[in-house]
Amino acid sequence: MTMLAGQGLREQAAGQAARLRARPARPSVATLALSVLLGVVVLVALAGPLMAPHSESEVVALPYEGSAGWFGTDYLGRDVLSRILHGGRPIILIPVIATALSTLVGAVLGVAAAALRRDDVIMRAIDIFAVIPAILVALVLFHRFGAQAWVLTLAVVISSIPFTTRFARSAAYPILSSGYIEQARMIGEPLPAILVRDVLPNLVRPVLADAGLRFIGAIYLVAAAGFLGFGPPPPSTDWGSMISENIGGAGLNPWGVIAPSLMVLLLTIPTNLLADRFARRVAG
Amino acid sequence: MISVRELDIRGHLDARILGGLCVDLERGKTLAAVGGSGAGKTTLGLSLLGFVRRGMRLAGGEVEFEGRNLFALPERELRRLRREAIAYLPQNPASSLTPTLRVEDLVGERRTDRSPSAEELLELVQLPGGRSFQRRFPHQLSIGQQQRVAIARAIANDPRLLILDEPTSSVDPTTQQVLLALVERLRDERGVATLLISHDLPSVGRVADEVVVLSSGRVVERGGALRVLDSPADPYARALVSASPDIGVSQPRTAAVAAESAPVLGVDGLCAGYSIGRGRGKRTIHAARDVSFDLAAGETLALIGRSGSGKTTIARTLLGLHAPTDGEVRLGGAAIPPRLRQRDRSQRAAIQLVPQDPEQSFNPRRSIGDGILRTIRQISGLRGGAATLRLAQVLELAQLDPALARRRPRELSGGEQQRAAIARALAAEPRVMICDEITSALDTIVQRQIIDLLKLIQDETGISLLFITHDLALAHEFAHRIGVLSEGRLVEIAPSGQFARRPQAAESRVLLEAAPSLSRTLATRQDATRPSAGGDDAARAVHNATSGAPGDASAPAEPNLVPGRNA
Amino acid sequence: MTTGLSYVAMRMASAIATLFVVSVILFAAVDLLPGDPAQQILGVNATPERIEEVRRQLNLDDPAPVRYGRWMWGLLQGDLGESVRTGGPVEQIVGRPALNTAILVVVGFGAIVAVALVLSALSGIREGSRLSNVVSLGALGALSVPEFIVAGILIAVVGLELGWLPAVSLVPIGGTPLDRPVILVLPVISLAIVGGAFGARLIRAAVADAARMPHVEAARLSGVPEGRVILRHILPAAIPPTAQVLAFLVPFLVGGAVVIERIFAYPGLGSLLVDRVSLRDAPVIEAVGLLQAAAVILAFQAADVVGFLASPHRRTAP
Repeated sequence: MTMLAGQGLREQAAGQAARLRARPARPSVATLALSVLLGVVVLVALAGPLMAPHSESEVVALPYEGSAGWFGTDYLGRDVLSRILHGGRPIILIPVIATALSTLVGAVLGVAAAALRRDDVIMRAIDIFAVIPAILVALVLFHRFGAQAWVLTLAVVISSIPFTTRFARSAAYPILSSGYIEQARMIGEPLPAILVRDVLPNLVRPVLADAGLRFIGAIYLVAAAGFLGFGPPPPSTDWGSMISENIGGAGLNPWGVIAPSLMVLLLTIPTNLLADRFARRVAG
Repeated sequence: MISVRELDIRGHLDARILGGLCVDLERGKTLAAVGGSGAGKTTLGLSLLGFVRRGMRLAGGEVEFEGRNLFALPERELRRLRREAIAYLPQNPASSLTPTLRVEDLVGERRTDRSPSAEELLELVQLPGGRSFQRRFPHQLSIGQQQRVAIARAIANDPRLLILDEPTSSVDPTTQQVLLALVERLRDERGVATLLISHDLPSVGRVADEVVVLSSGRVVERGGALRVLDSPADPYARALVSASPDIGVSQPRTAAVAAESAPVLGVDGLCAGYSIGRGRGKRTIHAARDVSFDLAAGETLALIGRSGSGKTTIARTLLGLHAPTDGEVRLGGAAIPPRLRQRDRSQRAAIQLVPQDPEQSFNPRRSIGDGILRTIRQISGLRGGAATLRLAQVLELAQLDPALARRRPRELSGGEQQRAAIARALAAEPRVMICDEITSALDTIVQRQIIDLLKLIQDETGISLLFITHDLALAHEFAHRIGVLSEGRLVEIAPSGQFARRPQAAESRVLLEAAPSLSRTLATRQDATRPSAGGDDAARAVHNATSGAPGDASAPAEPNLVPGRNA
Repeated sequence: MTTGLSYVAMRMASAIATLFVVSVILFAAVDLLPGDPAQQILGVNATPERIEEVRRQLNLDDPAPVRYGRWMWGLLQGDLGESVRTGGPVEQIVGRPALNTAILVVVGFGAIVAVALVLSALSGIREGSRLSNVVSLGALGALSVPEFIVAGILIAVVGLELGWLPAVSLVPIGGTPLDRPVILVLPVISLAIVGGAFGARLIRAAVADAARMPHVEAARLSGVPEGRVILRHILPAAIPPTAQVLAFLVPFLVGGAVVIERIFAYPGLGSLLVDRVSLRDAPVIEAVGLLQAAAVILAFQAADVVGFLASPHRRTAP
């Protein structure tokens, strides 16, 4: 019996090793720094109109006057800094709303597809939308309804749903066929309880990680729509629109292009890096 | 020829994988390294190739092969040795075959000028060597054929050193015989030195000249194979040897069951199947055909059979997870509905499962205790303090430290996870517990502990167990009765003792012959070395236990030579 | 057993079915959504008579299925209808820009594949090496930069400031961009930086997955030369997922080309589409959308076929 006790000790050691491995890692300095940077950019975008020295339509100097204010003036002589501060909201709000909607719809459809094992029907319907480029969806909807914020939001949602659904399905599939769901079914727990206790908690993190990637795509699409001239109606603006408005005078006042470009990058790069880190951690 | 000196390999957080390990292996000899999981056996095997896995590092010592330290060789030299002098057969050999290469490439790639032709190599492992076979891809072969192709590939370079990592654990019995015979032949004809890494002591006993017993990266015992396996000195080695199930010496459990009591569980004419494929390729697999048996109170019935014989489908049908096509399941004499959702709470509680993979049966984001409490609340309706008290009771019954109940499943070792799954099943106060291959992923020593625990629980609670396994030796000593499944049919069901003495069905005899027995193997070898001696105690025990069994001759089964994918 | 030929036939049938459904969706979205196209074309100040005239001209009073049927019937005969804004057959309006865009997309695809394959092969085979990490992080950074920003920087620096390459892609009259390849350089670079980063990351993941398979370690441990390990043991398994990644580059390119064409004033489908959306020219929008969707569908099906041919376990009997 003593030798088996020795083996028991080894078993305990194995258990302890497993516990040690399972301890979650703390966020790194880089992650913290990126989060702070992103927080500042989002704050500037949302609270910008309150901080702006001028209104978005006020003409303060001659067009493309580089010396006026921090970033000079735009093609109509308006203050670039003020327009940057006024033009941040759509590029934050539309992607946030659209990503939340498409993730929610995708999660419901994906879990339903996995739970009902009717992949073929739901997924085939979804896949058809995946062959239509997002920008085409947006342009077709603009053609019909004009360039409005809700249309752009809808375009992002429609073009994201194939991806969020497919992802949610692939994340839900192993959960639904897992031993612990079977165990819960065997003791007769009702389906809603199983969904709340077992499916959702295990689904949230991977789906959030995917939502991070969708969010970047949404920012891109909103910026691109503005750039193509389907931004907010003048004199309102957003960063994408500002780039295309001022590119003709880039030789006179490069800040008219550089400043909004930088703002887009300050938004996309930290978001992308953070989303990637998060997705990696979730993936293990 | 190869000499491992003071080898020290560290892993994550500088944890010791191998510490100060010394091993020597000479030409024409076979050395076996045995020990539980985590003992460092695979790491030792890989170090003989001059290789250390990612996440580990060489902290000291050397491995000398024919006078040269492998860890000091330039990459090119090392690769040349691996190509020309050393052969390595990894665990799960079928997965070492690149799926996009044909058999001819897989075997041909490793051939040298001295090597036999690909055809001869394939015939050496008793595969058809012909052109059409060589043109096949791995997926066009059966698992057994894949394993043999992997063996042919490994030895294609006419090696001087052969490293076999757990070669018999994932391999079917036929391939096992082919492989062990091949090891003996290579040793005798070409003087190949072999390192055999295994926890399968009977196989070790058959071919090894020397044995080292590893525990936590250290050698705890070494010596001649017969001596170490027969009378180990180190306590751990002793535990390892005594925990190894052995049909040659184990005493069958006698029926301590009151025969007159009505059966707890009755199964009558059960048929079940499932369909695979789609469209025109759709076929129905009959996993259970007209299966009938009874299970008495306090009885353990073992269902044994090879993989695909229908064991798991029968378990799932009893649990209501799989709808039968015909037949009836009775509980205490009364028929119960076939489907889970038609069964009431007490019917659900009465039959509980201890699954093959306990970790996967607990929600990874919740604690073990929470998982057990859910069963308590759902089945017995207990809440609050009463439920907590019940949790403490079942944890004690399963001999699981109550502190571990707050842990998540992956923070537990394999044995702890299995105890937690047993505790959860007991929480429902079942009359029947179905144990589906619950020991197959565990070390022999932990496996022994779980079996002892189940016996204890059975004595205390009088629960009935349906013990599903492919390990006949284990079934023989743990179960009161043994049922043999073959292609979905229950071909024989008999008390364990009688079963081992007089097996009736052909499949039973095949399984009995293939059942591992260390004592029998050792006796055979001792007889071979001392033909005049009358045999020692171990040998006598074998003859007593197996008298009359057709397997007595202990000749290896003739491998199936029919070409084709079902060979 | 499925032969290569019958598999290709199956995929073709599936492609046609998908394209058909897409045409219905596109037609519905462009023609049927609420709102009066005639009113939208003419503006709020139009007289009722004028609106009625345009409605008749557009056959708007016919039921929708009839209009779809007429459109589809014409489509099958190569007749895409007439532009409602500029007049003239749609196929003529679309033809030249379609060729120009095809050239941009094909050259861009080649550049992306070259960038992505080189980077991913360099970094995926030895996972965790310094080169691998640098490539990975660099790709992630590049991936965060929308291609119109890359294009803006290139125009400002290389085009205007240094004057090395044309900032505007003027195609010679009556010719193609290939007559003046220099105009393709900046647009293709703009596409290739982001697309290459995207492709490199995903292909790298595919190669890394393939390199992690147990048979790769087994091959290395049996002394197979490294070059052969890569060519025979790793890369074949990476082909099907890589084909899928490359297919995903096509919708990226088709969509990205819209923006890039706009910024370089490149006379392709994207520029045409943006113009016609502003003009609300439904037949042209439908034609361009269908062409774009067809390109994407073709790419996905081609990837499936490549994946099929590269997988012995699907191509040959079990």
